[in-house]
Amino acid sequence: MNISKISMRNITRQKKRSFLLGGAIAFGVFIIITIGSFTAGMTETLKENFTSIMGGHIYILGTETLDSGRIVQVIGDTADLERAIDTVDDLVKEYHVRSQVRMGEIIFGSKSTTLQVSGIDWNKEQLLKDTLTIADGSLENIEKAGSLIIPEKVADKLGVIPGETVLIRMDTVTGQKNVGEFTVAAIVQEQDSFSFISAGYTEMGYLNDLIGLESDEYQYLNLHLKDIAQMDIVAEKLVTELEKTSLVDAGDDEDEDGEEDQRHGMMFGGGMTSASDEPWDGTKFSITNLNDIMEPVLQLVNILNIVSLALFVILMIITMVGLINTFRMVLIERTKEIGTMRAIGMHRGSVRSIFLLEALYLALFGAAGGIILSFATTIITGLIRFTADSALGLFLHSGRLQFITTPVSVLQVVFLLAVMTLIAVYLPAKKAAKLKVVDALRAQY
Amino acid sequence: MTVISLKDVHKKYPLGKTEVHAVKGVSFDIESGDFISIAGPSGSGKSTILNMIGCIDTPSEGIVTINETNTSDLKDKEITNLRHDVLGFIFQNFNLIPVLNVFENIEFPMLLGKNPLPKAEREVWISQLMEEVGLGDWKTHKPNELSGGQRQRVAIARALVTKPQIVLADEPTANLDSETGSSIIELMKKMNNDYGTTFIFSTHDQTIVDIADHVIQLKDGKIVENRRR
Ligand SMILES: Nc1ncnc2c1ncn2[C@@H]1O[C@H](COP(=O)(O)OP(=O)(O)OP(=O)(O)O)[C@@H](O)[C@H]1O
Ligand SMILES: [Mg+2]
Repeated sequence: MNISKISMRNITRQKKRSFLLGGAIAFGVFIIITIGSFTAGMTETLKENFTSIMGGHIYILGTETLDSGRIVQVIGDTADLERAIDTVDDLVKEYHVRSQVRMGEIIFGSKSTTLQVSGIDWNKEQLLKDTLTIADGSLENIEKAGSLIIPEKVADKLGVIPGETVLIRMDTVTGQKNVGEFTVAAIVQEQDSFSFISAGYTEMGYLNDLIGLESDEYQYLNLHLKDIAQMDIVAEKLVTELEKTSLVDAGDDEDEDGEEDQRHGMMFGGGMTSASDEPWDGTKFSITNLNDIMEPVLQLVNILNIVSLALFVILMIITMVGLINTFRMVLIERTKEIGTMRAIGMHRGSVRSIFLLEALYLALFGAAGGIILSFATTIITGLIRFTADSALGLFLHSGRLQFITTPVSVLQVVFLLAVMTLIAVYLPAKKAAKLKVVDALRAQY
Repeated sequence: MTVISLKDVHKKYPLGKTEVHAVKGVSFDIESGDFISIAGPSGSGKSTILNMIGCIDTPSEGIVTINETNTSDLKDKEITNLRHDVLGFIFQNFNLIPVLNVFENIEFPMLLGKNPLPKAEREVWISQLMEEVGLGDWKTHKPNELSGGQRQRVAIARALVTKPQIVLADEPTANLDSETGSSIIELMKKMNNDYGTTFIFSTHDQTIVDIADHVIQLKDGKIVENRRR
């Protein structure tokens, strides 16, 4: 009690010196916690946004070879797939089958713009219905063939209102050009998180017809899981099940990076698989999950975290050198005082504790300052709304940067700092404890 | 009852290649309740002897016993406990802890012990001591707000707070004007009477020496006079 009181008050003896040291510590803590919160927030945001864009956590694509040798993206053997999905049914919240036109051209009168059109089986996509925010029109007739939902931005650009008819120019799965007629049923508000993609939705059967698929076929199937943590397990199970009946191009051979990239490419940019594959019979499945997509992001985040940790450690080592020097000075300044306390009956261990505690308190005050500063910075930065009209939108959560500061990460930093501080001050503290009382009392100061 | 006994004590300090023979075979006994002055000119070995009695230095030869314990036989922990329990210290430069106020400085040695008194009892006892040394109104002042004489009064209260058997004071008046110095010695004498504490103080000021009832006169590390009154 007594010792901690003295340690605490000793900090205030050289205010400027303590302030500088505490400030340096605060700066280091600020940097690492802010970067950590940023990367954690960004990871989470990306996960959410990808889940939203991709419409789920696990994505199953199918490719088939036509007689002509051409490879097209379609799932024809739907029975095989559905049997496989049944085995994981209890872990799935919702699954969506979709076909998609990635780069359609929507035309109204003399105006046109690009639109990604997804063919939806509306009976199965409650989650999507829930997330759409209607600006105009209604979802009443969306199940009717040719009904189209478009984002506000597209509607504004074309000057179209619900009930009017638009044309969409698109490629069929075999690469031919086709044009379809759609009726705008509803106009929906942009979802900030991914508004860089203009996404339209229509009933799947009608779209299938236009792009050359049977009405019961689809291009991909997405699973929305109840628990995101089970993603890898479910994906693996699906691969095992599908392999019993079909060709599977699974993500388990992870060393073949080229293949992964190719699958990602199919998800985003669309297009055909490479022609190097030998022709095959039936549907070849390819299973990707959110973790696969997040992998490069997580790698980047890891690198960022390591860099910031290294930066923190370097900053702290520099600070610790200052701390060691300070406490060497403190040792000289307070030699006589130490002699007095020892003479009066203080044990060596207590002298050491006074030194260690003083350094620890200083570090903790600095850390507290850094944490407060970091909180203030992340909260203020998190209030800024960015216009999401770019790829930046992928990193935004409702138009804002998301920061996640977990107590565990803060505690880790504080713990690391405390350990470094105690190590740094240990030698001066030990020296202080070892002073000969009579010599200490004879000291000049 | 003999509380302190020195038997043929020598102290040699290494000084470059040679050594300084600061204390050359000193023997004397101190009785409980003595008010003792160790007097002598500068460099005669007063501080050296007090340091050895105070267990913050060890003799090169000879034996210092406190309550029949040979202090050379003790480990640092035991010596520290002995200093805390049996001895009190008053220094020439007051040596108060600058970050503690008057009350806390006096309280400080109590908190170093194994079983400190409960807070309420401490407060009663410290308040009483503060009154006795004339600092009743200075409880929350920091040492740097006090005069030299006041500081030395705090030091006296601090030395007495653990009710030690023996208080050692190495030139307690050397940094004070002669009037203040006398009042400090008189305060020590009063405490000696009130509490029966043995006081051993060194000085080279002959007028102060006269207050003592036992004077040990040193010269060149040897006793030239050992006189009781
Ligand atoms: N640590 C030391 N190293 C070397 N010599 C010392 C040391 N301490 C004391 N001396 C020497 O021992 C002798 C006695 O010193 P001491 O301090 O005991 O004298 P003193 O009587 O207290 O003098 P003063 O009245 O000036 O305080 C002196 O010659 C001094 O130089
Ligand atoms: Mg001296």
